[in-house]
Amino acid sequence: MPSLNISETQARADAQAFHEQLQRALHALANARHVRLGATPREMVYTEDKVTLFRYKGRGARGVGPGQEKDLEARGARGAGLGQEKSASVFSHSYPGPTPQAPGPLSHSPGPTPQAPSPLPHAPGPAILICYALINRPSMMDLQRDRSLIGSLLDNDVDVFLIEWGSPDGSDRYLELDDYVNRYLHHCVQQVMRIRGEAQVNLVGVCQGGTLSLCYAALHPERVRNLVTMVTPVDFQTPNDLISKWVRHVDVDTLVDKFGNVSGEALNGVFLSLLPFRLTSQKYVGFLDIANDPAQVENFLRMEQWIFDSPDNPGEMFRQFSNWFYKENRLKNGTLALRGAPVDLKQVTMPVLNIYATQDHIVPPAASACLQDLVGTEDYTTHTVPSGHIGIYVSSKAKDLPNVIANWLKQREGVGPGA
Amino acid sequence: MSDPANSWLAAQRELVERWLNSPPEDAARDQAQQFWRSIADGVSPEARELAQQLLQLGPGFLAGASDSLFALFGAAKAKADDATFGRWLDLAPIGYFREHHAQAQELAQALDEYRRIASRMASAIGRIHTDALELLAKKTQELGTAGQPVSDTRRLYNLWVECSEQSFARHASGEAFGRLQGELVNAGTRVRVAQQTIAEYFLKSLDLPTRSELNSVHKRLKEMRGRIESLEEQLSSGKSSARSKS
Repeated sequence: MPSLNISETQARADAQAFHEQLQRALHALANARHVRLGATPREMVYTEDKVTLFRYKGRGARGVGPGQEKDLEARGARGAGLGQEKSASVFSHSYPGPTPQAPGPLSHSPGPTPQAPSPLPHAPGPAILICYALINRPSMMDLQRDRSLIGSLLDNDVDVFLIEWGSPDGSDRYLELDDYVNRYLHHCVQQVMRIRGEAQVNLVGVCQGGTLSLCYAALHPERVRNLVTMVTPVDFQTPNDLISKWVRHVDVDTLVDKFGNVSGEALNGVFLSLLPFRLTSQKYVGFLDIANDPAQVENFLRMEQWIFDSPDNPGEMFRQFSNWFYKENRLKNGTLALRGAPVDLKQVTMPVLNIYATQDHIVPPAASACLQDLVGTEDYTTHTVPSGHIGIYVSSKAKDLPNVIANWLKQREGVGPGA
Repeated sequence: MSDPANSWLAAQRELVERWLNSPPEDAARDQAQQFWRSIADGVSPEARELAQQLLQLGPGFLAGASDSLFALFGAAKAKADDATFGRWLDLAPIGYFREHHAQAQELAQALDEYRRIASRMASAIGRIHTDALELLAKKTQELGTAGQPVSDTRRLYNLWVECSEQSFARHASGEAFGRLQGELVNAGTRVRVAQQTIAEYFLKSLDLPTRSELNSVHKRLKEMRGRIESLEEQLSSGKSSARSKS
């Protein structure tokens, strides 16, 4: 029997059908609405340089009925996507200035004009501070109403704070790892503590943000009550880590010296080249199958927007992250130091929940799983999701993830099930 | 729908109709056949047999993606070939324009090096395609033997993607590919350095700010910020200790 049973007539018919599908898909793209990422209302609570700390609004927004929804929209408090945030009580400074201490009236230095607080309530439960990667926007965690990790956490009564790193430009090229860990992240932690009137935070680090969070937790263990790491690279030299293998041969020093910031577009090129045939061809052929369904088209466009809206990486940060983590594996080897202080993972003594994806092609499972042997905590939990790197936020296989995080947290906070 | 979209659609429609009604000697078909023949050269009889079968399917399938990859690297090579630097670039730089001469030489050498490495990368990608075809031949043969021959082009396309990713993963995770990719990035950086040197000369001659000058300013600002923070901390701790003493 021949291995191919496709006649020329059928090939032509398939090509014709493909062309018709392509026409429909182009029609769908030409008529698609502008998509917006970010489904959950939030307010800015702190800004510093290009970094913004947001606090999400709670169940009031998500649980309202259609009539109330209209009312909220009229008040501008509903459906706030990125760029439509309310800036309620914003504490902002260009320089860190005096360390914020206890909760109290905020001094408003230059920054967004404070407005009346939104009528929506904050979630009543424990707070988390999400530290995302610098490579993409954290909007993946709040993509759309029915696919929002943040929204589901709010539904679980978790009070969600999130750091957006902004879009670094040429003036940020000398920002270093230390600036991100000991300046921006540290100040955001202080702000959450001040707002909540608490002495510690629950830190949730995602991807590269998980690595930053691990550094922070190791340097400031007294500030972190619980630590959640999601798809976080710890061992940067595992056998299946393609990025690691490639970066080893790149002269990162000269590249950063001469290019300055590393463009998000270039980094996207690297990520696409990890699975080039699937990500540059098959994905778009697959789009033709869903082009008749406006809802699926919108989902697809949202993902596209998220994937390709990538900020540039500050040059020095890129240099240090590539050299120290990928080339020298300092975090795992215990040789990383910031401001002279060793980043010793044995100092991570707070409870740790490590979540990783079993089919992750960007952060291989082994790169995350090794954390268990490196941290000093005795309360260590692993949760795996049978998905890829992105699927952890949006896949149906990760549907229970918000519950897993919320329950794990509540157990350690002494509230909720199993406490 | 906007006019450009309509025009594009019309052009696509015309292309497909032309192919559907075209005689076998049509140029596009020849091009695809040539591609598959070149891939099939030097591969196993099974892969060659598969390539022969693919030839029957016309240029609209598989060849497109591969062609665009080759075109990408081909274009870079052609561009470098077309660049005429002249014999003077081979001479040792001397005289009043020595610096400009040296800068131009550096750019020419950097471009040449980039072209050579890009060509090696194109060969490496060619090997990935060849191996993918071998894999595809093997898989389709297995399916045929099992009485489940591939009977629609979409399935064949998906199988091709699967085989190509497998082939890519095997090559890309190897030391040689990683080194080659690093060399390509480094060669690109060298071109950028040479371009930047020349661009900065012209900017300076027009009294316009350069990247190097901005870098100096940003670096000094960052250092100054660190010093101010350090002084603030000292002041703050001084005040605290004074308060605790009183």
